[in-house]
Amino acid sequence: MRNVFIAVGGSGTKVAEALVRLLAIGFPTHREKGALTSAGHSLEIWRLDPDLSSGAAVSLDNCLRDYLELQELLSSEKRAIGIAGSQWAMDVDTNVKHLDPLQLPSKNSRDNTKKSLGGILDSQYGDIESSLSFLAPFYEAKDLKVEIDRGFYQKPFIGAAVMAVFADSLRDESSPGGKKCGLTAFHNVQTNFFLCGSLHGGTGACGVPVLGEYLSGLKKKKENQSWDWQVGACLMTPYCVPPQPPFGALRSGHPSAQQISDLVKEHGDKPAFAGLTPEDKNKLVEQILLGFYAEPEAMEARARQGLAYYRDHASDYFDELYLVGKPEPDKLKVWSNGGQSQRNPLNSAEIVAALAALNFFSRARTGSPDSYVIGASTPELDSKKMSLHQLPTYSVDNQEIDPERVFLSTAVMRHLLIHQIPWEVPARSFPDDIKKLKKVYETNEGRKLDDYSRLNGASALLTKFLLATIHPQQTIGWSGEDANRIAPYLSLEESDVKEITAKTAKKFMKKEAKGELELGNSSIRVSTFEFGDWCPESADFTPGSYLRLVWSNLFARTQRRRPVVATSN
Amino acid sequence: MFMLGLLLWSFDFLQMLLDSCEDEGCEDTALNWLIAAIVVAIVCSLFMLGVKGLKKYTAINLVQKAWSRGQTVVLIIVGLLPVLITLIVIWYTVRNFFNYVGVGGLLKGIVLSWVVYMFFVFTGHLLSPWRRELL
Repeated sequence: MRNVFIAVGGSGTKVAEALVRLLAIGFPTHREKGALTSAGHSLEIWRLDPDLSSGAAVSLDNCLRDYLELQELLSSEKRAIGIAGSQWAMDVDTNVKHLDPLQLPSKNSRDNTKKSLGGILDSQYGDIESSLSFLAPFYEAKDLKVEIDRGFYQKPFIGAAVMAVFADSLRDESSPGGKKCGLTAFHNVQTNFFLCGSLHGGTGACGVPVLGEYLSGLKKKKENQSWDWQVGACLMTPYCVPPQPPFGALRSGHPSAQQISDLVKEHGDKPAFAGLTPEDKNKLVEQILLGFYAEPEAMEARARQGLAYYRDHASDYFDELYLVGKPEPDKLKVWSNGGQSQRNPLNSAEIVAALAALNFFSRARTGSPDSYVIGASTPELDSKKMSLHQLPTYSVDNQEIDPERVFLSTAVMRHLLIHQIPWEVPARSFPDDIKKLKKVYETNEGRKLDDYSRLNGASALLTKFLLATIHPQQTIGWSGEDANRIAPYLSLEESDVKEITAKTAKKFMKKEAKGELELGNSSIRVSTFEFGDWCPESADFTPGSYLRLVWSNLFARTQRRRPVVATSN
Repeated sequence: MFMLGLLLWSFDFLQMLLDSCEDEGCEDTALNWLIAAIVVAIVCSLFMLGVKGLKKYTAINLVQKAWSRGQTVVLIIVGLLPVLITLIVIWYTVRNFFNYVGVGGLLKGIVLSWVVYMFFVFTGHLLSPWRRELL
């Protein structure tokens, strides 16, 4: 099955990163030959954002590079350049398709060269006539003039018009956007399109409904009724708020050159201005003075308006619509107006949105087609300090996928593979308790060493993925308890390895493990002897297929921890 | 094997195990010393094989259960020590051995016992599933 994740704006891009992390960790989307897996399905990431070099895009690219490395380590086959695939996890095209809504067809060389709302509305390609004179009265002069190549500054009234022109251009397969989407390749192909963006921002708020309408319109056309397309979306309600900019906007009028120059001198060395040319610094100061930045106080009101819009107009475009937010948004520490300086850490709300995408990709449904299911957080949940057991679950082939259990299974799998297989001795000396592995490796010691080196590399990357997803030093919104509890499973420290080894040791005269491996509310009981039995039947297995089999067996053994009952005399 | 038995049994060979053979019946002492050395070697090799088997059986994880060639060689070498000690104790506590076998005979007996021990412990490995831990 093909999946397309359309990240709209910065929030959507962060959710795409969270999704890639979850896939790398092992989250499944379907069942194949009895094992829960995401391998065998594919994912493309489209990024709809005028801000081509945003910090979120850089972060997503870094994450995809790690994913590609992980998949290459776990696969023995050569795949097309940029396709990160193995039997461990989903094939992901690491070449993100950047759809720039400002890249529009042009009538001539002078058309569509200005990256401003005025410039876009003045487009005259095809049989389109310039709408500037008609629409200009609805905007102030500064709205039409401001450069929008770093986003829409959380002004949906600017973005909506641009996105509408862009969506219209997609009808033409030869337009820049149409070429990049290449939707012809999806005709008659079972595909899940999942859009994600913020409800309160500029790019997300207007990009999600416009593109959703376009895709669902294509799907609903009479001649396309047989296409098995599903269109879903996740809207991010305010879950984090930026701090105030270094200085405020002018109450009225236009800033003078002297004002701009003075402010650049005063604030030019602040993080928001890092990496900007003197000219760009002047532009940024001017944008702030004119009020083109995200206003934290207005976010909630904009989210309300966005919800009302979906209720009245846009919800029908989607087969599934998810809403993710926090009762009280997290406060970001560094202010940025887009571009490379906007490097927000991964937020727990983005992980929740990525889980919604997995739920959608697994084609598990939430409620009936005519109703919404609103998963409300419990009073005990502190959204600033979340734990894995508080994440929503989803189902694959009627099996509940609890994120905490997935994390535990992957962490235990890493420990077992690296520390509980006697890699140091020649395979001919492997005990018969791992006879399947022994049989494969004893005639090919070179393969054993190669697999060990690949698994070691993959294990380091899995550790990175696990910790970078929930560690409070690298993320926002996690309590840190899970990161601390999972650390021993990922550790190379002798004391940690010893402690876990003692728990996976077998009981005397039995194969059963002595102790339980725990994480939050979940636990696994597995001895190394039970683990030794798990090996793919076919001798030409890849490290990825071996990992998936072990993971699947571990996941099947996870259980909810028995509560400790206090007794009193 | 039969020829080897005859060689060990021969008077010349038995005499080699004694420092002095002036008294009557010294060849019986030599034969007893030879038997003692062989029995100690067999018992010790069985003991060491038993130790390895027990350690493998009671291993609580796969890493403990997998024996490398190095570990096996160390086990075999460690087994030379009980052979040595047992033979010294027997040699010292049995008056005839002390008087007739002497220090030279003791050393020869130890070497012979080690050779027999090595033979049995290697054979034990070769005849068991552990042969791959040695070869």
